[in-house]
Amino acid sequence: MKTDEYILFSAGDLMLCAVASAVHCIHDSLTTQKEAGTHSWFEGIAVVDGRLLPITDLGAYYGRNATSGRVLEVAHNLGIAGLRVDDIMGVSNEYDENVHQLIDVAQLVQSPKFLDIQS
Amino acid sequence: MNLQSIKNWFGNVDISHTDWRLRWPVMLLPFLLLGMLYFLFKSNQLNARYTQDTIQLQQVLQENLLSTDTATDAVNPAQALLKFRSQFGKLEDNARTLQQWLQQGRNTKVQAQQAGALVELTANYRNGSDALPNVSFWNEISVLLADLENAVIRGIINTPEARDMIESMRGQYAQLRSTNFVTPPINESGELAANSQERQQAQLETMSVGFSQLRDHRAAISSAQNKALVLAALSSALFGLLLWGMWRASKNRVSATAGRTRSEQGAILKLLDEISPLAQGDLRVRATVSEASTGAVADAFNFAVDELRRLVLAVTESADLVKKSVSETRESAHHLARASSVQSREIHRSSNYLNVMSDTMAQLSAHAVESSGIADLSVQQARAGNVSVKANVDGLLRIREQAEMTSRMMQRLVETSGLINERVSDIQAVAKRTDLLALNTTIRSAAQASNGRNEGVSQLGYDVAYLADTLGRASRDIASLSDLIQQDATITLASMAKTVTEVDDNQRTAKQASENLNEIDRVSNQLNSHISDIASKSLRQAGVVKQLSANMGVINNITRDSTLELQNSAKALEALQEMTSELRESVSDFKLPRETKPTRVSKKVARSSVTHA
Repeated sequence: MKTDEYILFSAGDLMLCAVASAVHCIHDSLTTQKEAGTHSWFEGIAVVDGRLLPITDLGAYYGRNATSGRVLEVAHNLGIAGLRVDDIMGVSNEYDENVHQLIDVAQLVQSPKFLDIQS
Repeated sequence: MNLQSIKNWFGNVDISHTDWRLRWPVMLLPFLLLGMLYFLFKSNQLNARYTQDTIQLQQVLQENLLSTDTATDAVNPAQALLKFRSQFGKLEDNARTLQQWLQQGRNTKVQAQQAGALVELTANYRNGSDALPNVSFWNEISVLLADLENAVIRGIINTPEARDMIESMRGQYAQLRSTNFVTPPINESGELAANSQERQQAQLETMSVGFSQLRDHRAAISSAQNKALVLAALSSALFGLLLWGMWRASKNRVSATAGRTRSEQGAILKLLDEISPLAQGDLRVRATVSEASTGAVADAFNFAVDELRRLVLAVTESADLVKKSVSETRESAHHLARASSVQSREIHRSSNYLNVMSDTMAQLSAHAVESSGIADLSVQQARAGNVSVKANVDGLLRIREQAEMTSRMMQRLVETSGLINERVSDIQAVAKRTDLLALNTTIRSAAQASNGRNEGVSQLGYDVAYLADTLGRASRDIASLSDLIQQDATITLASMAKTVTEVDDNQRTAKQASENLNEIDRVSNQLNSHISDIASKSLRQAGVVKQLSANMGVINNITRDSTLELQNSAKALEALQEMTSELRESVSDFKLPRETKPTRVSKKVARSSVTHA
């Protein structure tokens, strides 16, 4: 029987969770380069292991407070994107639906709104 | 008797207004009387000497007679001595009888004593030896007999029996004396006749001389008595002449004054009629001054009435002024008595206050002594406190040093804690990285698990996550503990700094307290000396106040006496006022003329009363 692992995190005042397989890895202390003419929720471009990774502030994207924590690198098969969140509570094989809201990372990173970073 | 009595006596005779011819008998009469008395005294003296010579001559004659009688008795000496003693016994008996007579006389006490001495002499001899008496014995008997004979001559002894007895005793003496002379010793009897003849010859010569002296004395006595008789006759004649002259002078004086008396009686009756209203107190009368002898009396009467008038006026005015002054003085005395009573009460109250003050001063002195003891105790406690403060300062210094050391150690602890925090940061970084690693491992394992492979990676991820979690919790605990240590150390440092500051403050305060205690010591010593001074002065002051209280008591007694005296004075003034009223009443019966000017006396009295007021 196959069970999914969920990564639990917060962004702004939102308590979110996502499938662990949708996340490639977690980065800490990334330095971003702000790009002009982009939305405020688009934080900029960061260099990760010699690769360019666009970073999006997930709290600001959802219209909430800006985030300042770690970055979830989305699995490469879903797209090339980094999601800035506040706190990562851990990985768990279950989550409380009353507390955490499950997001579809693939749908998120592939949505036109997410991809349209130009303001 | 003095000169005035003599003049009074002559005044009774009143020879002053008689003729000068009546004065010379009066002047000559005392001289004649003195001459007569002189000759009578001289004749008396001569008579005494005459009597004495007669007695001596009689003795000589009796001796002569006895010598012839005793010549034959000398043949038997024992019989002669027996006869001699018998005659001595008779003399003693006569003397004793005479003494008894003289003791009964009123003026013969001295002669009785002389007769007693004679009795004693004879008795002594008769009771004595058989020898014959000596010459001094005979002389003593002769002197006593002569004294008795002089008393007979002066008339002191005037009874005939006594005179005869004295004369008989003189005869017995002469006989006994002659017996003595003619009694020869037994072995010398042969020479008796020759001595007797010579003695008789001498006695005859003595008798011849005595008779001639008797004749001369008798002639002198006769001459003196004749002169005294002549002077007595002259005195009698002069006295008669004086009485006759006085009778003549008084007769002439009575006849001359009879007419003058009648005219003066008329003038006196007129004067009596004029001055009779004065008896009813009428001072308006005036006597007529005339040429008669009563003129001077009338003039003197008018002057006396004038003076009496002035006197009555002066008495009236003086009585009024005295009454007024006495009334004012009495009021003043009453005021003074009341004021003196109030003063006495105030003095009594002041004396009580002084007694209370004395007690208070004594209590103050006792309190001052007690305060001095307390000040001594304060000085001792201040010194002990100073020692304690110095010990506290030393303790504070040690505390400060320990606090500074503790501060340094705490500083080091803080620094060490900082280093721990740095290491904790490293650990936290490691923990964070481990956590990240665990997450990534878990995500990888989850991704692989989703692909159906690598179950061990998942277990590793969990272990790393557990390790990261443990490390993270430990690092957080250490960090929190380190923060707590740092906070405590910081608080402790602040507290130690504050402690050091407070220790410094306390040290300064202790130094200030030490200085204050030294000052308290000095001030307490000074206070002790002041309190001792106050105690001694309070004691002296208490004594002075007590003496003052005693003096106030004396003053109170004096004031009380003064009050009594003032009350007595007020009573005396009331009596004086009554006397003044009586005096005014006594002169109110006098009638005075309508216009009578105030007299000089009244002015003087008025001035004196104004000055007194």
